[in-house]
Amino acid sequence: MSTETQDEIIETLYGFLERFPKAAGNLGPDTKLADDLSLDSVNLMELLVEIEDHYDIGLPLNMMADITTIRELAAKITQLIEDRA
Amino acid sequence: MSITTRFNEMAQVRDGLRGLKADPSRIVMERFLSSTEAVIAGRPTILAGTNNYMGLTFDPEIIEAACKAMHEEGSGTTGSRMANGSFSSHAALEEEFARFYGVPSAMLFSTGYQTNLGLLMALLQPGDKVVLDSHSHACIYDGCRISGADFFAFKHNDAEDLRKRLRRLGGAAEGSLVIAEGLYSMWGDTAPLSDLCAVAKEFGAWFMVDEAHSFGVYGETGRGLCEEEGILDQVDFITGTFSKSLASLGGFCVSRHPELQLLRYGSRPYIFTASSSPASIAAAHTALKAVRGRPELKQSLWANARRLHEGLTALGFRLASGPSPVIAVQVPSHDEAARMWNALLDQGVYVNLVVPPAAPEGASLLRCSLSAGHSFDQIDRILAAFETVRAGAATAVAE
Repeated sequence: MSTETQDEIIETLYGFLERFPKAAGNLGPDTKLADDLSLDSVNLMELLVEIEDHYDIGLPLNMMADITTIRELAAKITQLIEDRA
Repeated sequence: MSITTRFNEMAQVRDGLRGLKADPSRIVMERFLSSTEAVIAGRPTILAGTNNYMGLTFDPEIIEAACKAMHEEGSGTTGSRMANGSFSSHAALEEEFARFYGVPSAMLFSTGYQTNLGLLMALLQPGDKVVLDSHSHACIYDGCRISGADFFAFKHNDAEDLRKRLRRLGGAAEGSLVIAEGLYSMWGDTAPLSDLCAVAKEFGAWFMVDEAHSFGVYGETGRGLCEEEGILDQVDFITGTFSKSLASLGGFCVSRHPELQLLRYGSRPYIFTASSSPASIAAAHTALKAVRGRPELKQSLWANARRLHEGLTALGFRLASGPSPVIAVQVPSHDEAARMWNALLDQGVYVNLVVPPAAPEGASLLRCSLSAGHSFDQIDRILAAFETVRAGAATAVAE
């Protein structure tokens, strides 16, 4: 079970995101996944799968409509980890 | 922020396609020469991208039945079945589908898209859990999204990944819904349905299969991949469309659960849409009889599919899957795919250009769909066209 804090989860997400072309020098808690990093639906699906496998959680695709920033995504992951516990 | 923001986004999509010289609005079938050939841009063109699997769109019996229905029942139903009443032909076709599948329940919808939308919107509510194949059609995603249920994607055709995702749901896996398709329309590959069904049942989940592209094509009697895999008695909901093998417009859902009938009272895409026209119902009903009574159609389709698959393989093209009525040629880049698509049109061959996000996993595809109506001569002309357009490029991928 992951014991990462939300800040640590944000750092982990940077690791997942740094391969995307617009990520270089552009990653912060308030970076917007779609607007700033230009992640399309295919990129987002790939990202969710990686996150799910890393934390062994299920991220509903429908929740992405409510998530804009890296910070919001980290908060959702934190909540799902807590729910599982 | 304004509602016109979306205009800009859609204009970008249009301009992107035009930049590739691949705007689908270019494709206008000006005159039909047969079920597999039409005049496009003034040129007779072989249609290898129409999903007309059984080749029945110009079948004399089907056209006669549609004309007779129009004369006897009128040109349209002018309303929904719940608000304005059912025609006897709707009920008769539902009974025919129920008999064909040996189930107590069948329901018709006005299109294939609305079938999945109607089933999912009625079945699901916020808090429900759905696990669907990542390559699922847009109507499945849309139905889940609108329902408010939590939905998760499992890796395409991967039963072990489905197991992992159901396990993560914990107790909520029991009573959840697992969704797969028979034949996937972009890559042309089939699902390991019996494996997926077994995993779903292991967790107490319901199992739904969309046979839009596999109905008529798979199974001894054409009931689809569920029949071929011997799981008809285990699948909870099977959906399909009239707009492919059945050469018409509409869709169906069958279920071994009699409660399917209750969806008439809660499915908004069923309640608030005009029902299928008498001509569409009559055409689908007659085509269903043809699928059941003329096995030579399926044999011709498969002979054509194998011939094209073998030919493209021999030419060195990389194909997305084994032989099936959908054969997708993988092309390294969008630009190259668009160039080849245009060059094929110039050669008198129409296929589907598929670029992301319509094509899964970032692929660009030249998607061919076969028909029982194609002749071997047409298949050979399609192959010759692919060879010609490949000769103009150094980037065709050889295995």
